[in-house]
Amino acid sequence: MTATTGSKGTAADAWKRRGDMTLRIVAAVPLGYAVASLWAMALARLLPGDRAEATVAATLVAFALCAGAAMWAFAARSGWRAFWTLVVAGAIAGGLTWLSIMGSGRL
Amino acid sequence: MIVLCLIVAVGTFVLFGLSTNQHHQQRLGAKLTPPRKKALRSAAWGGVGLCLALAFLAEGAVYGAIFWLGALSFGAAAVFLFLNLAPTSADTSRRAK
Amino acid sequence: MSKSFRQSQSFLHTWSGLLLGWVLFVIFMAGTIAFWREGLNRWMRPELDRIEQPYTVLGGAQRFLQGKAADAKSWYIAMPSDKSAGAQVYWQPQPEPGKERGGRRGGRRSRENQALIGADGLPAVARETRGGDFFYRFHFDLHYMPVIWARWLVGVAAMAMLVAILSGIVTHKKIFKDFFTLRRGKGQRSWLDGHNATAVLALPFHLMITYTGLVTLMAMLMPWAVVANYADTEKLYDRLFPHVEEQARSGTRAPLIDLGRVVRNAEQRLGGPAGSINVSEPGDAAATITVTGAPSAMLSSRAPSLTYRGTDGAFVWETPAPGGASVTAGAMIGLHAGRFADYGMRWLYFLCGIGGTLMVASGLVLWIVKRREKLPDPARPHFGFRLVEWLNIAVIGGFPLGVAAMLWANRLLPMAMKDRAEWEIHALFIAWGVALGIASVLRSGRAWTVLLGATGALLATIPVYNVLAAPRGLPATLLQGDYLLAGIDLALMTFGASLLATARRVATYRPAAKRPRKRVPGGGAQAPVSSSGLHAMEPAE
Repeated sequence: MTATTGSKGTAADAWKRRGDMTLRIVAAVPLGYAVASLWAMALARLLPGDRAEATVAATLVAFALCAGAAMWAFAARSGWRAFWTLVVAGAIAGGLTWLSIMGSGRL
Repeated sequence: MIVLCLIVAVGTFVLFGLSTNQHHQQRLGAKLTPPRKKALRSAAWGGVGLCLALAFLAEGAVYGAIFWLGALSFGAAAVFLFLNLAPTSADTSRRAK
Repeated sequence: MSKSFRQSQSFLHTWSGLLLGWVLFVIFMAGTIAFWREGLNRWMRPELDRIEQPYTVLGGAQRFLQGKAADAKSWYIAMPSDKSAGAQVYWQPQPEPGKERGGRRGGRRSRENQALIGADGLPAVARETRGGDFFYRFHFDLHYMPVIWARWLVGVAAMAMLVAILSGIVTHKKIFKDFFTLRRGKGQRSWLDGHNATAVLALPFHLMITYTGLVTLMAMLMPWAVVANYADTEKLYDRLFPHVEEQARSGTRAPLIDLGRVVRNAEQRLGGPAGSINVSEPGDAAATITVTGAPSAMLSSRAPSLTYRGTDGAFVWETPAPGGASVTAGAMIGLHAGRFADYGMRWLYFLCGIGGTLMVASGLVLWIVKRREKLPDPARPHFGFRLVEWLNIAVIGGFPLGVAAMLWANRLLPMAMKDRAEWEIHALFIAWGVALGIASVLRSGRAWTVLLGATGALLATIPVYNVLAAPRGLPATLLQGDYLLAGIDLALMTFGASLLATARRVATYRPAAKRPRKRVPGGGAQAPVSSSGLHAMEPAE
């Protein structure tokens, strides 16, 4: 990494970049999979019709959500933004799932 | 019918290929003009539709759609290879010098 | 599309492609070969005649099982066709009294409880080999590791592939404008054009095969929707995969009806060929015969089944029509496996698969070519560069060599050798290991030449061996109209010749002398260096 400003500034910048990248990678891989899985659960509960069919449909869609989350993790303005937006998305799905299971139970 | 579909697919991509500056220049020897570009591209898109119709006729709706995508890929690849790898008249005249 | 979005996806594309690229190369190559799985099953058992009369084989299978396993718990017969090597039969012996039978599907199929029935209805006498089935299994189960680990690795790789494809589409700026562009002799830009071409021209296939590949593993990769709806997963599987309740053995002996009659009736009801026959409690009064439709007859991988009474062939049960999501899932898995495809469609699948394999390989090579041009000191590249270059040679050069070695092992290993089938596979990995060694010892250009050349020579000469020493060579198969076997020999010669030509190209490649990058101190202009005419070629656009 070439130094263009004073050495103290670049060292901090370097750590900032690493932190940003780490957040994005965590957002893309473990968090992205978790969010896709939570939305698969929410869709399985909320899609109308036969439960078996809803389960299959939700599973089929989940892979697209996983890929989308990974793309978002790198497209977001900052690593932090990528991270918290996915956490919120996951929490919403988790909440909907939990309420639904509390309400009508599982087969 | 299948063979016809493949031929149409190849023809479609010949038209698309010739509607790009580089290949039009190399293969037809003349500069590509906007009206000709439009004409070639319209004809090519027509070919895409014709290919789909032929595929449906040959294989039915479901298999036809699948075959159409395969035929388009085949046509695109065949024309890509030909336009880029087959020697042009410029090459042969360069070699003759 | 904003510039920074495109740039962010470019970074994602490079890394999701690179980190799992070598795994993806192997999966793509093995999977592409597996489209000719049945053909290779036949090609790797050259002693066997082509099946002309499937019902003769079926009758022979029933007689064989009657003799060998009259009191078995169940029989399984794969209905043969002119494309299969024979009818694969399995049987499941009665469980010992007091022993619990675990799981829905019962015990594992061991090597002792299977046989291959040949064209004449008798047990086939052929060299022991996994045949084309090896490539099919390998592309998701890999080898030398528990299948669960392999499938997780393959699943993660498939997701990385999906991300790479989608981010690649976003990143590709002039996807239509540059559709036909192929700049030649321009180093990194040529490799980029090649990578783009193999990717874009078969893009529908790549998207489809990747997404549907994930779907085939969905029960393992994404079980959470099931967890959300079902405390008892048996309920779900009974809904999705309905089957007749297994009858307990009555103890009364009763002869099994001729299976041929039942299968003919089933094929009439199904409106298509039968794929497999399952007999439960043969020789007993409570026996049932379940005939499942052939996957080649429909898009969905989940073919319907018909169940008949074993003693008199009375029709008893039929699979109910599946719901919308099940049909979609079945269609997706069917699209991936391509079993519905006849020869024409199968060739298109195969060519697209080759395109995909070249797409992955060219991407990996592009990474190296791009960074080589930027190396501050080309004689001493950094560790990451050396690692990627070594892996490229070891995998892209090594795995095809392994495949060629395996095909030769199939020809040369002694017929009576113990564990012959396993040793054919060991031959693949031994050759691959040698390639790893070559990649470690020789410099990159020489290593590529040696590996590509060796693979090419091995592949091109197998059909020659077939003519001289195998039961069936190219002239014989062409005369018999056996285009499946003839096609494989011709394909091997074509791949061999192409690899030899590529090896020669690599061996004779002379890179253009580069202009020096370093600025002359004092801010002077760079001194131009005359180069070979190679970068005089500019694209006309």
